[in-house]
Amino acid sequence: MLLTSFVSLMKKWRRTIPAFIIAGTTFVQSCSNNPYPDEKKTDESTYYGVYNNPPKDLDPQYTYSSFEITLLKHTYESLFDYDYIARPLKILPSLATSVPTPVKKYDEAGKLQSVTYSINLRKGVEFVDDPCFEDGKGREMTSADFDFAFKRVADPNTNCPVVDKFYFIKGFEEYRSKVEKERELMIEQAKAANPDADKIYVSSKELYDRCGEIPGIVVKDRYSFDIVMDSTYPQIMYWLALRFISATAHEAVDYYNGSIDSATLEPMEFRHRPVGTGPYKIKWDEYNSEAKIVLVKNEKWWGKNKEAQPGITSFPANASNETDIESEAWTPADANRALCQADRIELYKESEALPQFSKFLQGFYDSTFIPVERMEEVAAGGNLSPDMIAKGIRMVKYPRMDIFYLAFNMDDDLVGSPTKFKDPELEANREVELAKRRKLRQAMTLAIDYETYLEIFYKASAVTAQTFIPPGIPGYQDDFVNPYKNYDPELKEAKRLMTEAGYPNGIDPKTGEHLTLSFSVQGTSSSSKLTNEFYIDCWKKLGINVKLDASDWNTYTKKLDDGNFHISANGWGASYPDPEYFYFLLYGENSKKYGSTKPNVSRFENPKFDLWFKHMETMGNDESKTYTTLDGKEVTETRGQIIDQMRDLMVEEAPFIPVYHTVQFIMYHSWLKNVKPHPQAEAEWEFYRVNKDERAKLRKEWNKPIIWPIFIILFGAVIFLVPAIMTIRKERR
Amino acid sequence: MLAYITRRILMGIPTVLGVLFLLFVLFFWIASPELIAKRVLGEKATPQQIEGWIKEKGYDLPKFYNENESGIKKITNTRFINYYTKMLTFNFGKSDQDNIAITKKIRNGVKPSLMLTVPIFVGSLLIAVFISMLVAIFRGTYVDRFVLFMCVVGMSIVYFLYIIGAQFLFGKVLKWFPISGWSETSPYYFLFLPIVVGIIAALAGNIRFYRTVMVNEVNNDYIRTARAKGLGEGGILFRHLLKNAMIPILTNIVMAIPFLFMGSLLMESFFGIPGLGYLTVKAIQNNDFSTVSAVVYISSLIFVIANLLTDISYTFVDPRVKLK
Repeated sequence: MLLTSFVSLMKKWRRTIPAFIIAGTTFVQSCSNNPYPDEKKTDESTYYGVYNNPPKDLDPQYTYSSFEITLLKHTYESLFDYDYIARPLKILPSLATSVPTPVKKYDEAGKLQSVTYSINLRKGVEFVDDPCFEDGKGREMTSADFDFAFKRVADPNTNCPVVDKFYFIKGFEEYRSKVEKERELMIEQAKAANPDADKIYVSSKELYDRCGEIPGIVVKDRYSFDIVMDSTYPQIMYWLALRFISATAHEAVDYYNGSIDSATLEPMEFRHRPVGTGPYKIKWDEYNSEAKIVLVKNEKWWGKNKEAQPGITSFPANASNETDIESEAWTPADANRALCQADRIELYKESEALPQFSKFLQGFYDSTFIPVERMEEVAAGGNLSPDMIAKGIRMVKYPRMDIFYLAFNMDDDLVGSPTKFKDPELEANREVELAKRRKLRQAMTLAIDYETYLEIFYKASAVTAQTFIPPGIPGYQDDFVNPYKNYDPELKEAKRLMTEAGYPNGIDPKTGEHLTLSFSVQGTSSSSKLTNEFYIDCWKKLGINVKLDASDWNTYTKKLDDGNFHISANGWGASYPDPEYFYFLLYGENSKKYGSTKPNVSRFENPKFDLWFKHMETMGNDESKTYTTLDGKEVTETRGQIIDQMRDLMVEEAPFIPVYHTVQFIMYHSWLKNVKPHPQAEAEWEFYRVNKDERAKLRKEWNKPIIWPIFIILFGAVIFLVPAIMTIRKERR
Repeated sequence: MLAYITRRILMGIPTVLGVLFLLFVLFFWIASPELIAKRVLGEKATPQQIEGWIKEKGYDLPKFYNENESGIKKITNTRFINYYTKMLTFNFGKSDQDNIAITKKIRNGVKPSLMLTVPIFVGSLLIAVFISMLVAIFRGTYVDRFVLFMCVVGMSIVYFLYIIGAQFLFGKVLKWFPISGWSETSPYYFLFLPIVVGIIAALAGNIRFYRTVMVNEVNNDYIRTARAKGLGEGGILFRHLLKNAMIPILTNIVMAIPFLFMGSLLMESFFGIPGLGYLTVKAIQNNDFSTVSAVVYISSLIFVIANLLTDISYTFVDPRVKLK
């Protein structure tokens, strides 16, 4: 009966069913997973990359976050830059012709008067063509453009995040106040002249001209100027290698002043419109920050002349080590070759790691970071899986200049070493109580099983931190072992320290109860909870009852600002490779006790440490200094010796628990050459070389649609529909 | 009816203002201007930078009462009045996060969002209504039981799983569609998969809801009468059943309209669609008060309008409803 009905139905549909099958097959055949449907066949070599968050601000004097820095690094240029291949990082001249040697001047009494860096600029460097210039043609860069950049950094309206780093320059801070006053005056004058004006714009060029010159920036001629500082500050070279002081055209700043563009009816702002001299320029007609950003080669780039500056404008002649050759970060074929070999840089926004990684595996992105959730699958133990190797995928890993640490609240009576205990009883017995709290912190540091922690949560993407200073930074010592990070599963030493701290088995003799502490962390997700509960379980073995206080960013920050915590989880990344950038987090005056915007979260204050910090802050790595210690002794020490003493004091005082430094993994396809991660930028596209024929071939091979399931789907539909239709017909009858 | 509409519009004004007032109070209760500034400028921001940013954004003013002013300015020169007087005239200003004009962000985001949500909404509505009508006619049969079973299964699967499942199966394994992406010139090339996923994910709940509506109607006398006078099933379904089930359907449709503008966070995030859903959630996460206020303001307006439209639409589908 059923069979007869089925056959009669099939007969009735004998024309419809094949039509469905043909339509289905045609549909699937026309399907493709290529995410670039508009891609045209050209001779251009294109690099396909990813970004996760759209750029917020592209003002070189203001921007300080990772992806924006990468975009600025390719569109603007500074006086100096880092060598592509050399590690540890090495500074090379970029728009300056050479790296200057500081010239120190002393008065008759031998007191340092000034330190001068003489800068000579390259000739013939031009800005990209842009409507802000006369006739839309970019003009030649001169020393006035750097003078302008320094003045913009000093301008309070620019909100430069690192302005205080330039206060070593003569008269810089005074100039800042001058600009503020002069701007107010100009606004008042403009208001008086035009009381109905809705918005008053003050021309930066006019304002700075009215303010005169920064005494420490002396423009000598069109291509040279001096930077004169009150005292030594060798780290200024690192700041000059970032984009804060990059060639900045005043025309661009004043043209993109927030006025409305007649074509788009949008405000035109300098912070969204880079106008630099760099190797690439943004292609504005394809720019959609929420989906795609395209950069194309700047045809006017001075570096087209590869002889200009090896390592900056041409590919290095030699590799720095064997790893560079193995990972093809340096290829003999490219030695001395001119940059940039990729004509176009196409970047696509990916908010989620999984689709991003899948598209990389399909060959649609040339390189990617590895999401932690895929780490075990593709790079267990830090080595590529055989599947990945078989696909020709390569991987490069590098330690990042960062630290993740747990900070004790040093201003707290229970766990810290406050300058004065709130409880008078404790204060009366100060030295003994301080020693007890120190031992408690040391015990808690000893109790954590770092190896297991990193293995479970970070796989190979992090390494244990012994101190605050990450690898690759002066002061980091490979063989240094923090004695309080020497984990013993039986916790003998930790338990002994707990007893000496006055908490045998974690019990407070006064109350007879377990010591209870709060642990403040940001993030309330289950994964964050799991990560942080690992520490709590470790401390539980000492008898300490630590309560997790997980909150959103706002609440967490407020707690840190108010000092309302015992222990907190924190991280810090450096902008330049110097220990000063880490130790200033522990400098007493930077304690959050003195203001919520200060960076010293642990509120650590130690006169010895502060003295050392003030000395090392302004010393060069090879310098030594004679100074008076707190007990009146005169000593001469190198910067390295001072840094080591600071480290030892940190280890002993344990105001924080250094947990780990992250290791960045970059995966890239066989067709992409010359990938050498840079600690300060996500990528250096000008060095990339793409073999687009190989890419096209492999993409095609890897992405053939699988058609047969369409037949199963159709069959399944028939199996379901036929009885359904038969039931309907039966019901109707 | 005009009096009714006018009254409803007038009632809508305090509703919108109330929403904005609540938003303002709650937002600044949780996040101080310093925290917002820190979120934008980062942990490395200097005190001067934070102060400068707060001043630039006008968050340095007192919230509701300015003691430093005199007369009416004590009230008007405050953060609340300053901010919302501009916003009520649709002058949304710039985003706290990236200084991009909010109008531009909304305009750019609303198109992809609507391109995604409208086909999902219309598609799932039509399919769900059609299936639920069929199921109502054949209630109690294996068709009904099978559809109900599938609905329960469908409703038990989290939305997220539909998305990554579809990306994995159709994008990664079968390679029929791009896993994610967006193109201004060929948006539906990228939207096809998310729309199909959206329709499938929405079907189960919709069918369950509309089936209940249809089953209630299908037992009424007028259906039996229609059958008795020899009307075909098609005629019964579309001319009688559907028309009489329209009120709950319309309520459901109109109440869904504001959410269409808001986009879909998960879809947009996973499929890389630059829509309003992702923009809004990012704004909330980043303490971007300006953007959140603008989006909340627009959605509350649409919500009030949608409510009004629902009431008006009742009069069209049911002549017994009179608006006074």
